[in-house]
Amino acid sequence: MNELFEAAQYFMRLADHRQPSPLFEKAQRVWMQAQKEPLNFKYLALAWMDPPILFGRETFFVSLLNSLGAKGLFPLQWSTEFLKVSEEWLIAQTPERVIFLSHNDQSTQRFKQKCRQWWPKNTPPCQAVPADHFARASFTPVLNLQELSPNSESKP
Amino acid sequence: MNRQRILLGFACLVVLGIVPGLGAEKLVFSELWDPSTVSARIFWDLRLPRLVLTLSLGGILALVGGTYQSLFRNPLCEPYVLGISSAVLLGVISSELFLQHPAGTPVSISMGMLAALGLVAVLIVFSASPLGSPERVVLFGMSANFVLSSLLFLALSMQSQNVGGGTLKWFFGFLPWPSWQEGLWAVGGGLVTLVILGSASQALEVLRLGDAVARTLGVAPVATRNLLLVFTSLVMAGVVAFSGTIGFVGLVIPQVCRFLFRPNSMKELMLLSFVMGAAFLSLADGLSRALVPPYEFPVGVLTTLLGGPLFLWVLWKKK
Repeated sequence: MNELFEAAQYFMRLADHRQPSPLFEKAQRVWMQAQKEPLNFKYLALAWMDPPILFGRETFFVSLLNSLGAKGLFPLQWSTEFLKVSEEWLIAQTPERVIFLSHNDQSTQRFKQKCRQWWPKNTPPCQAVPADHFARASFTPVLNLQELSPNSESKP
Repeated sequence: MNRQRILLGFACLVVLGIVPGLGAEKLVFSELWDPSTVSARIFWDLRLPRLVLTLSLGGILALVGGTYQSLFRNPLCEPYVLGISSAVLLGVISSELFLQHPAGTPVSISMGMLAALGLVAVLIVFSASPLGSPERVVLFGMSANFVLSSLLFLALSMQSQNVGGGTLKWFFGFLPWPSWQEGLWAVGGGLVTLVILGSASQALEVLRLGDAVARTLGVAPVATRNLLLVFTSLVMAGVVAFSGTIGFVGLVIPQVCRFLFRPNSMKELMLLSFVMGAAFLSLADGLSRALVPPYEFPVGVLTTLLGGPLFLWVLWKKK
């Protein structure tokens, strides 16, 4: 994450922005806060519901959540951006949060319904993240962001 | 020959015994009778309905494949040869693109069925025309398949990732996790298909001898062919709308049955194909879930990987 902020500052300097944008400042505040109080939950992040496709370790979305302190239930042996998993594997997991990249209200409703179906006894909080707002960040492989960092060997 | 049939029966029982144990999660057998456990939920609510579904779909695919091979007097015919699958997929994907009803919803399935019916109507008109010999109907179906597939790829290539992500599964065959109700619907569909096609087996046998011979034996070739075409197309539209295109089952299984069991009649071939298709698809599905857990392979990939060598083996032995 620090690399990301460095990269953002680098681009702002390149674009001759003297003042950081409010969005940037807000993100930095949230990040500083998370450093003090890390998120402490196990989560599953779904990019697609039917068939279930998880965000992998190599995505920015998961990297961000992990660096904020959350613990992903993505199988460790897979270093991939996305992974289609069996529904029975999902049922056997015990996430404390489920995050889903939703494309519209209809898919959000279906996601909540699926959550209740998958974990009927202890349904975890299931949060739909609007894809149109976050798609670029969530689908970006973390490697691309690292490459943007001014500290990276392949800096622009 | 009897020994081979007994072996088939035994193999089917083994498959039925093994497949519910295959999957991404290891089951604790002592927990299966306690409905509150994860193992019981996976076994009773997921794996068994899915087994019921795969048995029915596998049986139907092999049955329709065998029927087409006789109906069109062509051993290379398989259930998707007439382009019905492409028509259904085009309907399903159009519903997602233009009506915002995602694949798998009732509206998308209805759109798929409508598209299939449209193609069937065209095929029947062609079949009833003076040009409509069985060979030409197959060729017409194949070209319709190419055109519809191209339209499908065009639509997909123009759309965003969120549509592609959901629709790709239809190309490779993807079995859903059905409810018991859906599984039992599939069993009903499978049995109805078996009974109806089984009752048409005599007419199919006569049709294999050629249209002129069929007429002298009291079978109206064009009308029979059209009736069977409508029925099998509707069945295939239902199968594709539910599971996408699962390759090779309909092509290979009837051939393997002919080779292994040398059935005396079409009815016998149909019954053997149904049983063997059901066992084959169930085994492929079990493997697709168990090979690299928790990843689940598209079942169509497994049927092709297993069916391809099987087909080559039959060809080799037949020479």
